[in-house]
Amino acid sequence: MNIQFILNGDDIQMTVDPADRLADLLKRKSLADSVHVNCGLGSCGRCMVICNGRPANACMIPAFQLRNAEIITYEGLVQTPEFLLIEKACAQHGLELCQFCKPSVYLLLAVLLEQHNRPSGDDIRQLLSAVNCRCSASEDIFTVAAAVYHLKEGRFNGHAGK
Amino acid sequence: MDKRGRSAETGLPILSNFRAADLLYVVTLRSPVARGRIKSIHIPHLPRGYRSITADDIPGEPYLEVFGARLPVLASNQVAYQGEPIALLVGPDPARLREALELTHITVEAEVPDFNFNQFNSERIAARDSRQYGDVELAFSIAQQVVEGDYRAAPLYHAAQEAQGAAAWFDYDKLMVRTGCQWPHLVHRQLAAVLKVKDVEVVVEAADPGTHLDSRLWYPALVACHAALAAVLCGRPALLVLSPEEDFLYTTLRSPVFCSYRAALDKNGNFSALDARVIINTGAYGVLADELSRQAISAVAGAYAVPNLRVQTFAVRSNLPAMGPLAGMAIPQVLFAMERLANDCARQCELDPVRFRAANLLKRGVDGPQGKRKKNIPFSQLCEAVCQASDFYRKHASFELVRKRHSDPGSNPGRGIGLALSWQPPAGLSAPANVYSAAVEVELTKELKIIIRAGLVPGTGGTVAIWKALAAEIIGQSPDTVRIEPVTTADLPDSGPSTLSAGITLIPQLIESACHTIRSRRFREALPIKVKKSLRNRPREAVGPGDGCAWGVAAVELDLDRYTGQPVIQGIWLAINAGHILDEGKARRSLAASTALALSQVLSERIQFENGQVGANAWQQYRLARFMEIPPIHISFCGNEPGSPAAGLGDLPFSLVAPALTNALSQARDTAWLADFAGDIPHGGDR
Repeated sequence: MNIQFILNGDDIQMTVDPADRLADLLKRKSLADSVHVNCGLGSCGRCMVICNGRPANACMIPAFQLRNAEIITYEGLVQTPEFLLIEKACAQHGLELCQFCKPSVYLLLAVLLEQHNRPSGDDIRQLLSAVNCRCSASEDIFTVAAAVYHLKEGRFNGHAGK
Repeated sequence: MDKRGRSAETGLPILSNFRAADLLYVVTLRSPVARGRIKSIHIPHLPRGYRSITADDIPGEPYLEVFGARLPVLASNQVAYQGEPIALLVGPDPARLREALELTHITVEAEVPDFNFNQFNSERIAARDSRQYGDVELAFSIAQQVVEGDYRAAPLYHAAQEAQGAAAWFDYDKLMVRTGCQWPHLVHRQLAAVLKVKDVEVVVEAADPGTHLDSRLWYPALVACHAALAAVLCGRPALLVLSPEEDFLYTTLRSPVFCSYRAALDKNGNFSALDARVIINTGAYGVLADELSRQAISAVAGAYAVPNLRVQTFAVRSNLPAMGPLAGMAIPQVLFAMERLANDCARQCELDPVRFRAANLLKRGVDGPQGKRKKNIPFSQLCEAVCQASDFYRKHASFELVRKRHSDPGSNPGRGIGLALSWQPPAGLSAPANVYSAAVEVELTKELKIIIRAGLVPGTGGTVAIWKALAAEIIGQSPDTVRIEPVTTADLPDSGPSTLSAGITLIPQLIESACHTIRSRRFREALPIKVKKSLRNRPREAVGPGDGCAWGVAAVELDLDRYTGQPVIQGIWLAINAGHILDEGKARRSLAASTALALSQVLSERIQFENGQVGANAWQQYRLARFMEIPPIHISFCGNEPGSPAAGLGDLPFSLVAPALTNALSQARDTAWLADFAGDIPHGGDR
């Protein structure tokens, strides 16, 4: 079947098997090196993408669901101002994620910024539990999540970078 | 990631992102039974561009020689575990390879497999060791109390971020092999022997092994040989990445350990004798049997003074896949047993667990059978920090009261708080056959750049940052001027395996020494100045911890859910003494991450076994703890001594959390009315 979707702002058209998963397509066509296919069961969260504004495991998205979808991967996130906020918060709090976990955690933090005006501790914990990070402590990531939100607030109030 | 697809922090690439023109994929044909003799292999007719590889195609040695064991690269006659590689299928389309794999038929004359390791005959012993001193029988005959206990540590999966695999390709006259490993030079030596080529004709490049928990110590040599065979025999680049399920079922799990203890106590509640038997299931071929056996013996008496001791360790082969150490080289499993025993002894003597431990601790200057210690164990300092932060004394006393009174179920849920004391030995393997020299080369160039060449795979970006900061500070340059060479075996010295925190203990020591030499020669000699330093680790014989260990005490508090009986962790407190802490923030983060992993292992990770082997659905059922389930972790550092050498601390939580949690659980479950409810608690099989 032929499908058309938007990947990081680019129109993508491809012929796929309906049973293919997004993760396989991205890997096979070398479209996103940041997507790591690990468990293949939707539990590790290392193939995280943002699909139509929601975080989703790419290994769980069948190709037929991709029609007209908008997919953002870490490569797309890097080009946004949110990425700079997250980078800054990580640097401020000394959080060093490994290259396997970093893309997924950053995407979840970006979703957090997008979806919640004032995320509670539970919102942060629940959302970040979608990725099974093995390299960093949960508390450090929660601290960064709260810091990212504060940086965003500061930006809206004209205090960014101060 | 940088433009070459390497981590900006560690400089290591990700294996599964490997790309090459005309790339061939490799899949593995595996044994369907756990033990037997191969009668025939029927591979369907493969289209042009595809081929199969069997043991007959191996140009050199058909065996790997790793850590005292000899295991076939591809089994040709006998199979020793289910899933053992028998042949490889190579081709350009992975989907067609998988189809061919399904059509392949292997006939094996099955034999009765040995999975049980509690009972074994002498043929199955891969390594054995024993120590005895004092008169154990006499001590038991006059003992005031005798406490016995059997403790088991279950197998665990490393759950690294990427499955094991390797890529191989040609670069001019050299065969390049990339694999996520802990010891590139070990992989290099095996490749040269299997392919029957000179050492200079092969270069191994380390890929990012992720959070490997020692699962990449030797297994990458096997998959690297498979990928390299495909590349050499087909003349094209080849990539082999195991599926997550293959990685779970057929690569190294943590060796299950069974410890049987008998302790004699005198009238003051002090150990007068210890009789221990430790059995380690090494799986097929007995890889690392000698090393695990030695490390286990060093930990068998914990940190306690035992005047009469008899210990036997057995590393036993079985028809399970070859097992590995999983963070700590069997020390966490044995310390788990000893700390459980200490808790049981304290309870038997009706002593506070802190007082019991303090009274039995090894002392400085006392010349006993466990050697003469130069330093005291910092137990009281660490214990005080943990007990104050967790309110241990009050909580333990009140929970103990509840336990003894068998309280009313309507008013008191089961609660417990447990303590454990543990250590992490200095980096370096201990068995004579595994002893190696770690080496580092530092160069100050004409452009005043510092180049560090170490063949050791840095665990994290934090480790690299510590190396850079150390070199820059000593030579008096900015950390930006320091470059760490990508880890390959081409020109870099063998720095040994990246295990037991070698990256922050051995390597900084060598970098420091080399940089001091450069500093002293800097204005006397012309640049560039190149200095190489090496350090040979020594085999260890002693029972008990040496003076260079890192120490930790942990307390875990938990409640049992009133309805399900599941433990709900209320808090974890750790106090650590690891000599000179090079970077406290990084050390704290590393400990917190390891504690979360250790907690996940104890609480939710369990491998389902069917008929002695890993069950068919075990992979789908293996569950890692989520962020939401991890309670706050409190860490404090005690006695940070800037003058002393840094001791590795990353593996400490693996030997602290399990015994502390299980001690807490035993207090909570002992409350009579809840004992039946608590029945089947998923705590990794550790008892």
